[in-house]
Amino acid sequence: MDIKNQNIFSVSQINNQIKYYLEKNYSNIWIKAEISSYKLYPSGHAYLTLKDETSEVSAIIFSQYISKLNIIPNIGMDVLVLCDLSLYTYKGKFQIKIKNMYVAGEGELWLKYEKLKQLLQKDGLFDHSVKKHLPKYPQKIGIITSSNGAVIQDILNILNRRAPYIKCYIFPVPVQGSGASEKIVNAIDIANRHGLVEVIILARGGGTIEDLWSFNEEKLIRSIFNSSIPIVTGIGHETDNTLSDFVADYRAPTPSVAAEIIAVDKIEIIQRLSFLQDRLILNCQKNIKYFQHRIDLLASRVMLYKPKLIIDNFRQKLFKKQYLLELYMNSIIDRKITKIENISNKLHLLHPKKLLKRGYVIATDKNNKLICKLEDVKVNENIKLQLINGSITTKILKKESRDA
Amino acid sequence: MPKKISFEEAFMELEKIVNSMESDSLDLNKMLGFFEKGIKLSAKCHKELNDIQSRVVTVIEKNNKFIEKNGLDIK
Repeated sequence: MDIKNQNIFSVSQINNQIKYYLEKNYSNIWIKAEISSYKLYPSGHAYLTLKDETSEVSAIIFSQYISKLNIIPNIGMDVLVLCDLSLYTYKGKFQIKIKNMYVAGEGELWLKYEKLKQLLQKDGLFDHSVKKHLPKYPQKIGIITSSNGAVIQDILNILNRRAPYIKCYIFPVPVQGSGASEKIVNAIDIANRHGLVEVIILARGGGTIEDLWSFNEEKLIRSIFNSSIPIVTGIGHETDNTLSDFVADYRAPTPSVAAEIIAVDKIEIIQRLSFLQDRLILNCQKNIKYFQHRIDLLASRVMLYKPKLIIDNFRQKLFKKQYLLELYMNSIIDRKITKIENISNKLHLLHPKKLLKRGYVIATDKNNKLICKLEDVKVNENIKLQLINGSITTKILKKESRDA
Repeated sequence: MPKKISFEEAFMELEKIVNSMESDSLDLNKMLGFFEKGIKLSAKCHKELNDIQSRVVTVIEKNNKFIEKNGLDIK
């Protein structure tokens, strides 16, 4: 055998390729089967065997899908499963991954349900980001439901007991059978066009998927989505999930709960109100006290800076400066006086008369000019000698230099 | 205060006033204004809560017009 031109796969390659092929071509498929074995493991995943008259296949339900299953699986049950095909590559084992499960008899409707659900989901109708906020304390609410039966009575009883302040606009509609969804759409339309109410309760009692089918009609679901008034659904029991529930702005498990969610108990509101009122008064008092305290504080500070005090303070400073000024002045004057006295003493000592007393004479020529040197006089010239008590005139007889 | 203000708006406004009294430092005049308004809103809410009338109306459409009928209208 010539293997040179053959494509040779490794085991992993072939497993991976088959896994890829299966997942690409067999996702979201439906299988009708009987459950022949079922075991839920502590991991949360469930392993089961599906069979028909001639074959069987093993399947797995991952934990994230278990709680969302439409029915609780049981051995012997005829079911319709929504699943993806795959291959467990480590073992090369063919695998069915179940995403949802329905009772086989209701298969047709559930098929329609799933198909529409996927379409609407893709269109973003179930996104949480587009859900409208419910009013906290609505005063006018619309109730779209049958005017017969227990549902409307239950809702009105709850509203009457909890919230007699709410005005209810009832839109009587058939809630099952042909034409029911159109009537409901019409009621939503009236409420929106006339702006009658702040929120709408869409309610119905429990029933089979056939009974509830009106609430899975595309037209109604789009109308709920397009309503500018927020809509709360309370359809059937907790386990019933209609598409209206998915698109509603809030999904209540039952009609009664829908009414309870919408209508805040009057007693509770009064409590909240009086709490607010208490806080209002308390805050006001607190604020007034705060201002009073601040005024007192400021007043005491004003006292501290009273004008008289300021003036006294300055006056004191002024006195001090004045005293210092006088002190400096006196000392300067004293010093000057001492200096003058010294000079005067010196002068006194130098006075010429004092010298005459001690025997010195002052010699002057005929012009009364002082004679200090030999050159100032000539021989035979008359000069005047001043003495202490008079003067004498005398004649120069001889000049003699000291050097000679 | 505006004339047509719903219960919910009044309640929210009251909450807002109390909250801002608690968080902001207000001057005295502003605070007294808040207080006065808050008391009015509170009184209004109480009045609306206690104002019980004929509260159930059935809406029926005839020839593209809707008619309101008092009470639960059972055919």
